[in-house]
Amino acid sequence: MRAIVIVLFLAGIAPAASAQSSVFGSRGLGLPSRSVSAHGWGLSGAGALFDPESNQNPAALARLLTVTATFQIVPEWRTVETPAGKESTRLTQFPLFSVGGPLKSTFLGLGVSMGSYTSRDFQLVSTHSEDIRGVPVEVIDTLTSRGGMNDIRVAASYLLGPRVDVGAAFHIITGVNRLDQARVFSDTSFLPSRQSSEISYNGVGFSLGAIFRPSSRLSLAATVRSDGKATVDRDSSRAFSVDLPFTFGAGLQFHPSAKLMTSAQATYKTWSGANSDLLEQGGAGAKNTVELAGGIEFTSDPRRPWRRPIRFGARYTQLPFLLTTGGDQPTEYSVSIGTGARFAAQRGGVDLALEHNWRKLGSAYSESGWLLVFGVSLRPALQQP
Amino acid sequence: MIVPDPRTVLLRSALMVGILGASLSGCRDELTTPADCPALCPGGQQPVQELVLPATLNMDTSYFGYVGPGIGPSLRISNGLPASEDRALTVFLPRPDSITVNDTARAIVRLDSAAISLTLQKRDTLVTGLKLFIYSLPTDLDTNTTFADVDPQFIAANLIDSIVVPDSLKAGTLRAVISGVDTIRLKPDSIGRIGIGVTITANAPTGIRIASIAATGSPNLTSYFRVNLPSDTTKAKQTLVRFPQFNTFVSQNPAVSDLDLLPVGGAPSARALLRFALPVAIRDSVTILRATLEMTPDVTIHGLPNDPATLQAFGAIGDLGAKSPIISSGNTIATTTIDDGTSSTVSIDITRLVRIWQGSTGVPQLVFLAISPEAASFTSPVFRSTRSASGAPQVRITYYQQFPFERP
Repeated sequence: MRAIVIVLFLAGIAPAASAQSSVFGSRGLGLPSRSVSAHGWGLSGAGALFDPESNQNPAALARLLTVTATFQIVPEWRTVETPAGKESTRLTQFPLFSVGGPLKSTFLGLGVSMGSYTSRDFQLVSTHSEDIRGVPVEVIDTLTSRGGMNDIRVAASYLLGPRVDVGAAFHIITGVNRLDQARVFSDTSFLPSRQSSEISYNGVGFSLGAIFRPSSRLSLAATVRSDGKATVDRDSSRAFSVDLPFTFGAGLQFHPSAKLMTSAQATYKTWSGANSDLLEQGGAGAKNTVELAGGIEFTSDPRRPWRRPIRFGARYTQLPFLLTTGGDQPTEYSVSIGTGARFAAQRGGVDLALEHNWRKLGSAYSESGWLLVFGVSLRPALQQP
Repeated sequence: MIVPDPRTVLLRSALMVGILGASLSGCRDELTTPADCPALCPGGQQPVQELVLPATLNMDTSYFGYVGPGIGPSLRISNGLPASEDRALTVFLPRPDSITVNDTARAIVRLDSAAISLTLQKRDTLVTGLKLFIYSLPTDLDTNTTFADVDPQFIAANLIDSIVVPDSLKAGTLRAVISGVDTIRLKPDSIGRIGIGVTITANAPTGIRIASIAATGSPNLTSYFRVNLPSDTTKAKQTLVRFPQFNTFVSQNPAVSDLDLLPVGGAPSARALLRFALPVAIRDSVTILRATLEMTPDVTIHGLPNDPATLQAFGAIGDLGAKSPIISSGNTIATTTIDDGTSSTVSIDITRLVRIWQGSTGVPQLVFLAISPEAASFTSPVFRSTRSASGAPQVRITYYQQFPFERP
């Protein structure tokens, strides 16, 4: 019953979900989000394919011992530099909610999650001069965007044996992007103007995943995901449709000792499938992306690995959406540190992570940010051994 | 039971407070980033465009008779002014033969003195030596009285008094006091009414506006007299103030209407009605930044120097011709001032009005033009119409197209 209440609670606040704010999210479909738990964020996402609280691999659900609900709050502080100037931004995100657990007396695990797929949270201010009625007038445009695409996942996993877990998931890709364009003029005889619109997205996808444990120290994971096509509507009228990527991910976890765990993973997404659709609509295009992440988790007490472990991670990724047609692809680097603890007989837990990241395109566009990831997990039905 | 180390508890508490504080400080989003285009401008920059929309052919006209002279807030008086030659006329309410004092009607036995007050509203402050002359006139004045009817009576034999207006006085009360034997110059009719006419002189041709019965400070006649009350000399002295029963002004050369032109103003006042047909593309899907109505004067506009008139543009909630009910909402009423001697195009910003023509509001695409103060200003422009060889009314619309929000 309590689990249901939690699910309803999460469903109620789910529409607030969003992801990172970035000028690199202003083009294409936005900035791709990371559906990673706070625990995984401390490893820079390196262990996400094995993490049942992240939604990157449906097979990972199989190892949940009890119904578990998680959500995150992620305040972000960022400094953005473009040829037009430098500015600091801040934003609070709620990037992932998930509920999952084992189905009693079976080898099945089930889970529902809602996370951000891409984020289009930005506010861009640009100025230019234009000859109006024969006189140069300064025009100030402000484009504000909130929202983006969300990923609702319904997943199931199955323990094929002590060494192999498999899973599959169905994804509903949806979301609304509210845009507002305001224009003011240095000559106040021209009235300020404001236009607004809602862009909505709809699509479906599916994913498959597997985790293989050849030894007690080594685990391997793989996932593949197809998101098909998304339709894009402007104020309820069909605008266009766009191909979403295939995702291929692979990862490994290795325990050199009982206190140390290392993780690494690589993800490849075929965003170039969206390139022609975006160019057709006047966009700048898209390219495939590679993401690499590595992390280490040190636990002082192997019998209680949840008791203030120390996590480190580093990550590199390419960003799919170009700022100019035929231009270079933006990149992102990040490092993170994290820890966590459980309380109330492990029924409650918090995980913390601090990430510093840098995004860059050539020497003209760059941004760096600090993200404080605060994750809460609840296991109301956990039975003590 | 394990008792936690107080330092550990303190450290944990500080950590949680720090995390909570950091989280809350990020709750107020600030996303503004400087952008350069085209790289960071999804949707691009919509160029500002312009459209010149002429008034619909033969659907523009002027209607007359809205506000008559004397109904407006001012009475015009002028002498040699190019705009017009005017005289102000007033008939005061009847002064009775007797008044009630100590519950008894007592006959007025003697008029000691009288004061005629006028309120100067506007003058050309650059013209000096202004002097008002008040003449006694018959009391049978009405709306049919013409300049020619009364002008011969502005003679010395009918002069009641004159008022020298200080050059420093821009506006205020002017008072003429008549006392003693001069009171016979006030010539009441059989029922006690007194009619007056006012002219001016100055060191140069000029005009003034004085308050009418419709405004604060209308002309008034104060009589100081004695009644038949020998027993009480104090109460025998009485005062009576009479306000106008009728007031107007007459012009030497009233405007002659030309149906091929668009006169605005005058007295009785004229209003011009212009109709437009906004293209569908403008009506449905652009953002209008500025819309300027451009009117071309047919001849140089004359008025009282240093007393500009206001040209007002109204919308209407229905097109019923001369009786179209105007939209009185303040922010759709557009105004511009017209100075004496204007001969170039008169522009009036009607952006907010044109904006309400957009969409499916059903508001007719028309503009009413009127002069303010109506039937009181010396300024009465005559504009060219769609029937004129050139200079037809037009609206210059500056706009930009809908922003392509869907462009990725």
